[in-house]
Amino acid sequence: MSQTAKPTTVPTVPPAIVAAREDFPILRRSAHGKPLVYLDNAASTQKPQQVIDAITRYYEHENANIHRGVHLLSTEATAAYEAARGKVARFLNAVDDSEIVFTRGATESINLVAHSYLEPLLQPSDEILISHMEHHANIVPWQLLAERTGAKLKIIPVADDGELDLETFDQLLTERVKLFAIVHVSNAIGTVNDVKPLLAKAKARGIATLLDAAQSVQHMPVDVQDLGCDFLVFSGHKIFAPTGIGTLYGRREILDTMRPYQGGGDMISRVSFSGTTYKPPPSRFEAGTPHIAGGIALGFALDYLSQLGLETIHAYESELLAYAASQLAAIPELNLLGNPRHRSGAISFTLQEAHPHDIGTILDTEGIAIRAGHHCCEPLHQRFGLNATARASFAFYNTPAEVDALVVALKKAATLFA
Amino acid sequence: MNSTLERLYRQTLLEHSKKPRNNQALPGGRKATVHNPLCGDEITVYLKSGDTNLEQIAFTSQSCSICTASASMMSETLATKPISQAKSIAEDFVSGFKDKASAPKLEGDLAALLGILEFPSRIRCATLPWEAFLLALESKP
Repeated sequence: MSQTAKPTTVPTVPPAIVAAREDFPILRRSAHGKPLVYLDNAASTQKPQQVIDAITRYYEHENANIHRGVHLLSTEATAAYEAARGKVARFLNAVDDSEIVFTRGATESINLVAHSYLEPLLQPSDEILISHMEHHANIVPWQLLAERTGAKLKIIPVADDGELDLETFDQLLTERVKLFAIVHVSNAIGTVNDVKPLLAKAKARGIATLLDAAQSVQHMPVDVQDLGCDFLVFSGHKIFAPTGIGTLYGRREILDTMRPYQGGGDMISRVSFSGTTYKPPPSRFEAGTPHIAGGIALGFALDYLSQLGLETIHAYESELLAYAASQLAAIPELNLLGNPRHRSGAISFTLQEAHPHDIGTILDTEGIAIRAGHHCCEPLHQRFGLNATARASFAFYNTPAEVDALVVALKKAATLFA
Repeated sequence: MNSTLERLYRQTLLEHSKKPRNNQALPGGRKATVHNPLCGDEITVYLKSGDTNLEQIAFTSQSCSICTASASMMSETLATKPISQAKSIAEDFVSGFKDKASAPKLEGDLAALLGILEFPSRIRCATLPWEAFLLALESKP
């Protein structure tokens, strides 16, 4: 572990960001009698009024099942849901709307790729390549698949600074690898992986690629054509939309080759007892009535972000994260997990004798919400010889004053357990 | 420190967590390990007993202050007690914390754990050692 010690000035919050914070009603509430300081954004983000209103409006005016009604409400609900798909496609710069599959979240998206894309191709001698900094959602589906097929899971190591070991990556990228699945931004360390050249190397060897963008799409512009990935996954609730909705982006060519995920209504072309045929993507992968309000609300969340501007968000958050890292590193008892070249979203740390769970409780009574534990990254914590860390994770609505409140509370915790 | 926090982190609790009693492995005795997947904490409780009475309880752990203090207090409270009585105390402790209808009746140092009732997310931290003890009782020597 190492410390970031470069001095940083207090960032100025751009006026557009100051105004946007007012759009989040929950940020006006208190917690344990203190103003809420919400620093658990990597777990789930808060929702702006525009998204909350979109959900209400849907249930007050449009609610009906989609893709199957002849009446006005169904037509309107279908149009709103499909418009949301288009918004996601444009948000990611997909070539076509049909490349966007709605799922319950990033976890389901990855399981869908494991089942519908990779499993039918996989031989016992094949390998799936991931890294040591993956979230459990990008580990366990591949472990389960490896158990079913006899294929092997290969792991790109992580260095002490929290960066990928790229030399070993080159060695591991052999012809046996059938899928390279990598996290864009680490939810624990905050490392921003420079994935574009890695995806290009995999592509050059004919290896399919999946990018876990659950912790990047809310912080920086992400362009699937520029990055060149075959699949990309993210969750709605981490990007200011409701829980229970998420996205799988897949290149249309590759989606066309894939078998269905779940069977049921809306994914079929013809059903008979002598044989059933399936719809083309994305419908083939969307059995049953989906989370219609969630999909529509996700579209509104993306509209909201685009209006504010991902470039504005990225520029401000970069300063805020650098400020937070330097202020935290200045606490003598505190050790940061990793020291990546580019950090986004999350900062994890330990505080000498204070256990992360105790830190979490002490901060909670000060109105500050953080995460304590392994953040669904147990292998990463094992690699650093830790069973838990505390994590502060940020969204654009967080302020330098909130960083200062965090620092004051952490100093109290350090004193209590000294 | 604010008052809610003071009720949780009482001096007795902090003292046990910073200087836990019987914080060691007991080779040759019975043991059981319990892991809390929510936070990653893990505790192993060791015990030695005669025909009717416990002789010694100890533990090793990677755990928060509440879990460590609870384990330390447990090792003192239950040591040398008749096995059946220790089992019933441990069962009452676990069910008392998990069943909100009936607060556990705790005396002596253990009373310092009562503040945890105000922090539902920390209740498992307190019960983890006692769950491990009950499992160790069931384990083969």
